[in-house]
Amino acid sequence: MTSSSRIQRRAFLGRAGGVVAGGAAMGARLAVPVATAEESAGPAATRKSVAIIPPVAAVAQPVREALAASYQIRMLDPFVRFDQSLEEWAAGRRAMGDSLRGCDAIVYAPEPAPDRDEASLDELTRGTYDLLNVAASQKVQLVVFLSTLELMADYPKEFEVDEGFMPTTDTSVRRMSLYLAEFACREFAREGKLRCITLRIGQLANASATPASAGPLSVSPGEVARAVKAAVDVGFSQPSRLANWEIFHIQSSHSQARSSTEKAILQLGWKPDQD
Amino acid sequence: MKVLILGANGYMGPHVVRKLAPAHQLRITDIRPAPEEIVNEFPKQEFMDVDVTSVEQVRSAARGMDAIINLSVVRQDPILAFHVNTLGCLHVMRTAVEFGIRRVINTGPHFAVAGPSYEQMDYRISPDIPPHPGIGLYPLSKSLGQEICRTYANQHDIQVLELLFYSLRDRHELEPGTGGVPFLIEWEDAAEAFRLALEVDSKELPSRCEVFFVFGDIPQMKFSNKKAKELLGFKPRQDVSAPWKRG
Repeated sequence: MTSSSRIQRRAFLGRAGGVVAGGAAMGARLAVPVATAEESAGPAATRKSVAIIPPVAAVAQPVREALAASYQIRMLDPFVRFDQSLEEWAAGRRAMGDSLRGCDAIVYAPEPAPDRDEASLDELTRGTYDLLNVAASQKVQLVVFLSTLELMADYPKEFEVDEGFMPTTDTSVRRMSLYLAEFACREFAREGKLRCITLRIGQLANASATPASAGPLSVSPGEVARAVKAAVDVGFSQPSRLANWEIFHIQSSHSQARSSTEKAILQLGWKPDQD
Repeated sequence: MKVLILGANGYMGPHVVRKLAPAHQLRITDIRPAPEEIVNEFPKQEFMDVDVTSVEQVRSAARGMDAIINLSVVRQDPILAFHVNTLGCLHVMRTAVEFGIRRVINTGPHFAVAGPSYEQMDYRISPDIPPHPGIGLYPLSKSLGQEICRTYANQHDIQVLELLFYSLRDRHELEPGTGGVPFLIEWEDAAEAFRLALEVDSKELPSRCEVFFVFGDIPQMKFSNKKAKELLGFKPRQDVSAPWKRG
């Protein structure tokens, strides 16, 4: 697809933006992991199991709804908390291992809470590392990690930024936390411990947003949920159509869109909203 | 120069103190007390208890300093490794910004950059490669700390020098046939790298965050110490090739 045709498509597919994806304090419900829901739309033996972590993530419910018809869903709280003792950490790790036993994939959507400063940074770095270690030990095949398109924000607006551009960060807790969490995910994939599909998500549009207020990174909850569903579906495909480490940029298609989503459209079969 | 040394009472610290004390005013800090011989040897230097996991303690120790050397490390504790190796760097860099400290020397293992995916496959590995620390607790937590240092250096007028080591030995331990990872240096040569990193002119460095592999001259050509030699003027004095000679 040419650049001009993409621009034309974006002009047609407007979408409103406003609220940055995330925002809920990650630590607000941190606890020893508990399977808060188990859903199945059919015989359990024939369906793969997907954990969504954490349940309080802004996109957790739309993602759950998108996956529930095809997968068994487990909603799990993270087990790493900044101020926990070693004993609490070990107990949480064991509980997470139990919760992930027999699980095929994790949708991991950590949300930095800038007001919690270094606690948030710790929970996204150590928390990601510890979660992926447990996942690898339980032979979870696939992790879909929800990162942010803010990691591409430093490039001048004249560029249409795609997945081939290097992510960068500033010193803000929110952006640096996700940058470092992505770094950790990449190393697990590089070492072949699991497959990781990173979806860099734009700014999550709220329900009252209008097309006229669409921001350059806006994305709807439905678009995110469909991208996660597509990533899980393709991630499980046999023979594999993806490498161990894949990145896809996900945002609405409109005239002001900053990022190319061509790769997600072509390789995941993802479609932006038709608005 | 007034220099704060964090984690100064481990294996490396006393060697660094001995190397820097003749020309610099040191604030020697750690969560552990300084070795008695160091206290006795340097009565005019300053000693403090500082836990790098506490930003308040780092701040109080850094006041009035011109440079920070961060030797702190935890290798195995699953919580403290991140709190010291990763968040410790955050505390150091935030403090440097706050007090206008313009030079930070951070340390780590060579595999904070050159992890298994390099070491198992490549040769002439230089420090200017994309970091592949792998998934070990120690290398990954150090590598994340290094990324934090790099990020702050990019945004502030702070010169960061990352000195990466691996195997350190006394002269009498350099016995033929002992082998080991080909990233070896003798302690005094390692300490000399800190003096050079502290004193090198920032104008001689390509960017505000530079990584150096610091080891002696060894035969394998697995890793390269050329950058440390060219930019820091590093000249290892001790021949460390003996461990790979026939015993």
